Amino acid sequence: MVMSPSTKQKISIILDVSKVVFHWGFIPAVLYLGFKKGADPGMPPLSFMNLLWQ
Amino acid sequence: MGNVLAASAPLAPPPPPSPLPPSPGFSPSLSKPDEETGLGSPVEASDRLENPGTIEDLHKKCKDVFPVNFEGAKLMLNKGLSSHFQISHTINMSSVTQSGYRFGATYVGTKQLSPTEGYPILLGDIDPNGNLNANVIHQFGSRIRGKLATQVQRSKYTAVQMTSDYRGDAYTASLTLGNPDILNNSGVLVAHYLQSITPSLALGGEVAYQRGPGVPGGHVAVVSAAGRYTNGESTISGSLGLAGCHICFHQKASQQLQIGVELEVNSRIQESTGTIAYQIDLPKADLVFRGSVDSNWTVGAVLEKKLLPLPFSFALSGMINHSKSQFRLGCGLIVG
Repeated sequence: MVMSPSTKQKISIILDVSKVVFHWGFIPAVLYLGFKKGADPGMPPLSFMNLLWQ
Repeated sequence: MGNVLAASAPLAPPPPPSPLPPSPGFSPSLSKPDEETGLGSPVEASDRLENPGTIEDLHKKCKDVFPVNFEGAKLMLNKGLSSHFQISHTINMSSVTQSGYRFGATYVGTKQLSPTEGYPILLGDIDPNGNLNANVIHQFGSRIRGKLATQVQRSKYTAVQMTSDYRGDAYTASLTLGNPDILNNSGVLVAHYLQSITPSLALGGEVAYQRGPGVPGGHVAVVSAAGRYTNGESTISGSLGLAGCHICFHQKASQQLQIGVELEVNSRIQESTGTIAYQIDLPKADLVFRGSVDSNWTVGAVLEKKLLPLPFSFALSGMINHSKSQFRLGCGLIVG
């Protein structure tokens, strides 16, 4: 598969950006999903301080 | 809680690439399982055959008996914020592996397949320098499972592995893509197939294809065969390829005692290692003890004890190599 240098450069920029986004966005995304799901029924609501201690 | 804990599988590195080109001399022994696959699968018995699991888990039963030694002091704080969400704080102090703090988070989605399984599963941990391990597992439909595992170290992706498993009624086929790089046309592609022949016998094979600038000739393919035979409480599993062979034997001797034996032969570096390991479960004392001794004179043991009624568990690890005069001691406390 032969790619022209400009296509290669574009792909490499897209890959680099998505790699950085995944690298720094993965843990925040997991935390976001967890907080969005919220606490179990009947339990006190979650707050940001729950990440550190009770 | 149980589903969050069950999801915390460690990151598996991509399969090791083999720089050796396949030689035709080995192919007769490798093609044998495929012939047996064709001959030995009677149609009338197919409804009794169970899915054999994946080739990745072929030696799992035996490997679980082996102690996982660690070094230094480890304090881990697990916190289940809900049945779908768990976080962990780990402090590791060691002179061999990386010391410091790690933060982990696990999210288990709402697609329930069974009471203990929910998908998608996202788990990751990160340290203050940004070294990240991330795993995503999702079940598409009832048969296809996709996995993505990545490891980032010093802002470089050191390992990326994408796996998709298809679970048929009596077989599992998987395709793994490791460290793909579109720009340099490099990467590893591994295809696995495991078929249940009889309820106790499963046979399969693996084809690994590697492409990249560092490989002699530009690309290389390696074939290996694998099988597992279960007889009551004992299991023997083996894989045979050009790079060597790997045989595992697992026996459940009693309710408390399990024994595992492993033989690993690497023909490339002309080395073979044999290991005997055992695991003792004492549920009344909330204690698990694993020990091993291998042919390199390494003796290792790990003791795990739950300190009930407190939500603590304590782990003690020791490993000594008599010929190299090496000793490593580790202790850990897990809260939650």
